[in-house]
Amino acid sequence: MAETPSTTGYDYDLIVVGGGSGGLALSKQAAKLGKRVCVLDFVKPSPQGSTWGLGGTCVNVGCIPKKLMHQACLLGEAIEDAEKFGWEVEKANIKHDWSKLVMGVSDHIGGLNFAYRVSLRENNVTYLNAYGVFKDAHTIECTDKKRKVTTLTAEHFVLAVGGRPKYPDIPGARELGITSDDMFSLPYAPGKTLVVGASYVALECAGFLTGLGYDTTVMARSIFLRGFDQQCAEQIAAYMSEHGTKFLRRCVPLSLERIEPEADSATGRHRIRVTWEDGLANEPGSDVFDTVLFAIGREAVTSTIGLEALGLKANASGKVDAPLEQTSVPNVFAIGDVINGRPELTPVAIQAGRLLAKRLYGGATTQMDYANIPTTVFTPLEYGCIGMAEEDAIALYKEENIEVFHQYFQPLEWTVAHRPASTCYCKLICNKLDNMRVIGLHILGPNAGEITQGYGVAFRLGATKDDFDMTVGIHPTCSENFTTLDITRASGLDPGAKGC
Amino acid sequence: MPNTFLLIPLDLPCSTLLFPPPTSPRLILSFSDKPQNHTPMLLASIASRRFLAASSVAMTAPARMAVAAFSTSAFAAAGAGAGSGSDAASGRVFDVTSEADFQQRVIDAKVPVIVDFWAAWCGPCRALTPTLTRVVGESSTEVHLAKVNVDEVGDIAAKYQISSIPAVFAFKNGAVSDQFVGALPYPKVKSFVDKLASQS
Ligand SMILES: Cc1cc2nc3c(=O)[nH]c(=O)nc-3n(C[C@H](O)[C@H](O)[C@H](O)COP(=O)(O)OP(=O)(O)OC[C@H]3O[C@@H](n4cnc5c(N)ncnc54)[C@H](O)[C@@H]3O)c2cc1C
Repeated sequence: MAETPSTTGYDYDLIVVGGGSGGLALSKQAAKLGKRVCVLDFVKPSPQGSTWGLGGTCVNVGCIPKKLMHQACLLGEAIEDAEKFGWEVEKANIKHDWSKLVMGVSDHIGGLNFAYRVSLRENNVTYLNAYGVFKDAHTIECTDKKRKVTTLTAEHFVLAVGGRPKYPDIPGARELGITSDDMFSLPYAPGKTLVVGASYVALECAGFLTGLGYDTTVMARSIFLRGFDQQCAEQIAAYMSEHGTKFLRRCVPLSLERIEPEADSATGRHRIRVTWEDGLANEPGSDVFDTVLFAIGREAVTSTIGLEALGLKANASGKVDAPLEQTSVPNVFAIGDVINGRPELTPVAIQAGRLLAKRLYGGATTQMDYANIPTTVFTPLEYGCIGMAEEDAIALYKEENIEVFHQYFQPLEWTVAHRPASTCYCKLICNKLDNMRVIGLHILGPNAGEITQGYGVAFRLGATKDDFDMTVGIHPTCSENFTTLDITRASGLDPGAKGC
Repeated sequence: MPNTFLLIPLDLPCSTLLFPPPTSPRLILSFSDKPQNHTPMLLASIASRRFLAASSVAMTAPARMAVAAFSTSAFAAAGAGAGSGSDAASGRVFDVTSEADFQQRVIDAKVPVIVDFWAAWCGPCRALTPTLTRVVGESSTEVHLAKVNVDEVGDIAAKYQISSIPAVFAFKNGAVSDQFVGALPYPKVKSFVDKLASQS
């Protein structure tokens, strides 16, 4: 605990509600600036009973386990390629062991949970594994696992409570369905799986499940990856479909029911009958699955944290307005997924948290820049992007004022592997009214996350198409395609992969 | 191998498993139709962490979780894996359950105590603890092994500033006399324990 007592007469200078990506980063930064800081972090079990340690969504049930499972899927594909590169692979013996994957992932997460506790301690941040409920703008009631209640006061509060998956309001959903909160620690192999939703979480999970060999179906009501470039979203779905993921489009689940009262003793699973409304058929559809995963979006859980005691109102998704990370209560701030209208991404929460701490306690004035945040969807064919989707650019600037450069390409690694030539794709969207400034960058291909990150810097510096053209590529890479784009969509020329 | 399911007795003596079963009663989940593939370490690793709530669900309503288990033979193997050392060590090896327990059985102990800070998710810990158990069991002088799970009795880990595990401390007359971090091989562990024992 910090040696210097709070100068304010409160128990702490700052209490952070939520020890996830944002809350941890902010609390450590505030403590480094000499403040007495306490972090409350408490995970209420999912309807299926899953719970986890310190660190929030990303570490426990988000970015980390999902990227590891994505990697498991990529390795499976790599085994196929390996044969073409001369490795002698006994195909009949290739199997995937779900429990071993879960174990490896869980062990890594356990280590991270511990490392977070250690780093809070080393930064003199007090950590309470307790659920916080506001009593007034300076007082919070904290209830721990053993129902022990402590009341604490602080000068400042930061809401960093993140979000949890939504469930549809249909019979059987909560009893029989799972969400990403349960997926990555599922104690039995998922088997035949229905993934409901069109979010990136839905597609990513469906992607790795298919890659691991499970019969996987995605059920979506309308478009995939709302908010993302739709051409790219459709290409992701097409790739997944070619690799075995099934799609039920324009379908909405109506009910889930258990077929037998007991779980199968060999697999540990229940078979679940799902009935759905099929927008393309007259009759409802129905099939039996072993696992039903809902990935239909997330909501901030703010209905149980005493917002009313603060006079704060949340919107339908539980989110609060916090322009410049400040709520309408002057000493209460918010960062991360709980803020209305901001990208739900870990580095966003972390950056906003650090900057807020520096403004509050370090005399800094730098505001969080939410524009042009690079991001990547880790579907089997990864998709990275920065800036605007093509349809958004057209809506904002009109079609005649933008120029789209695009190209399909075949990564060198895919040639010997005999993978398709016209699957990977890159596109730059440029604003003709502003010196051909690049306002959208999109790439579908291996390592899209690694590729996209670097171009984030170019976006901050306002790179134009000319800057991209003057940049010398690294050969042979996928990323170099961005330095040689010359086919415009307007030209109507074929952007198909070029041969050597 | 077919699934011969067996409920693990909840009050199983800790020394029969390389790792103790979790402190509160719960069933263990089976993950595969090949129980022999799962080592007892895996079992403890699952049981003591992320699946707590899940498994208690399984207890109340045998819902989605397989109530579980290990085949008798896998179980026997678990006992054998712990080795003869663990039999000899019984009585010398214990789990620390609270700060008060630590005070009584480590700080106030009349005999030298090795303290093993470990966690279920930690691979090197899984390698080291059996070695420690064996060495302590083999010691001609009475030396105790106190196992502190950093996830369950975290306050003790914090007090000793544990930032990396496995971390092993040698205690004599309530004070730390030696320490090391990481999974050392048997000979090194032996000389570490012998050194402590010879000081008594
Ligand atoms: C499946 C999935 C995959 C994802 N993949 C990525 C990715 O690849 N890249 C990326 O950047 N982002 C990814 N995200 C998003 C990322 O996880 C979130 O944006 C990020 O975790 C938000 O951080 P946060 O600090 O706002 O909240 P969180 O990390 O959600 O942390 C909030 C914490 O507060 C706790 N809490 C809530 N209420 C209280 C209370 N009243 N008292 C005490 N504690 C409380 C919660 O239990 C939780 O531990 C993914 C999310 C999911 C679900």
